Amino acid sequence: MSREKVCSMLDGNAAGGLLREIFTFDATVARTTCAGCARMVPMGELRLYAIELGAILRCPSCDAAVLRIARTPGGLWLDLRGAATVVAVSSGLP
Amino acid sequence: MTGIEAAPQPAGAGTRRLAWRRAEVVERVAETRRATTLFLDIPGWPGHLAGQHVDVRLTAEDGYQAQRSYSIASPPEVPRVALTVERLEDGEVSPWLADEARPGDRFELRGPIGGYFAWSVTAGGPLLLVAGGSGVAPLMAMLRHRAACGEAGRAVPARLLLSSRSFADIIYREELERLGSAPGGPVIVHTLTRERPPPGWGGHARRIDERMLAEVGFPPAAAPKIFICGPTPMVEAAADAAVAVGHEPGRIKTERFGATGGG
Repeated sequence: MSREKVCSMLDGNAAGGLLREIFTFDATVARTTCAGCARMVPMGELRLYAIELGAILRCPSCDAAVLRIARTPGGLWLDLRGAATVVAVSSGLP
Repeated sequence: MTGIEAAPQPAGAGTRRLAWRRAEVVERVAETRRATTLFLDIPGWPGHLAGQHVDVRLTAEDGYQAQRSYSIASPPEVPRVALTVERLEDGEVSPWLADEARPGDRFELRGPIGGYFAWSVTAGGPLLLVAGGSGVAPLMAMLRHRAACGEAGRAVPARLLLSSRSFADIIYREELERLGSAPGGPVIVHTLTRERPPPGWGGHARRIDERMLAEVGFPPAAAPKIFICGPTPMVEAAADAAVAVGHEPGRIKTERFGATGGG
């Protein structure tokens, strides 16, 4: 891939499509606790860096990488070490 | 565009799987010099909430794929999904969508995505919407949804503060005027940041700041639901201003998009 490709939006919300390839619930509203600073925010509120070949979702408070996702030939690679907990909540979506 | 293939949907995969669908352009409307609205027919579209977005994937003849996210500008009440796309220079996706796509053209799309930046009349208000440029698209879906809900919609006080470069760059200008002048319509306030406003301009002429938000927005005691969408610097400034005015950070939802590397 010769060109760096980033998404046109930079909130975790913009990674909602990618997150739906992993989680069966709407992860953008899932309350996620940063393992670094214990700040809890909806995943949609994390800061999104890069997308398409993967994504890094960072804590808006301490900038730690909470979720790391990479698209590899073998499948999606998910690193959740930066998340202490993920709580799926009902978003009431269709 | 050729080589469009929808991702195979395994039998019995259930409804929670987010499938790529084929969207067909049925109409295009020029909004401003750089922004175009595409109305789409999407077979199997499951419906959406105002504020949600879609992923768009374009495939070149050599198989090269580019994917971007675009907010839905149409309300849930309307069957044709509308995307308002602003052309970004050097963009990989937006120039095709904004300039080239014609009725009959098809591309891949998946959605709706994201309950985080979504609102419906049943969630109540007051509703404070702050947008920069084409960031008005998801907020327009909210105002259109509010208008489509009749009395229940009018019962939710709503205000929109829209920052545009110039008068000619104001997206949905005439429709916003109509919405704002209708009985029970939202309060619409404009600000222009680059070019001098036309004579008789009733709006502001500077970037969004704390003073402007305090003047336009609801008082913090009214506990408005705040949605801010636009380019990253504008969103940061508006969110900081909202907090400085005294609004609770937990009630402020943001959606940023970058002009660098995106499009």
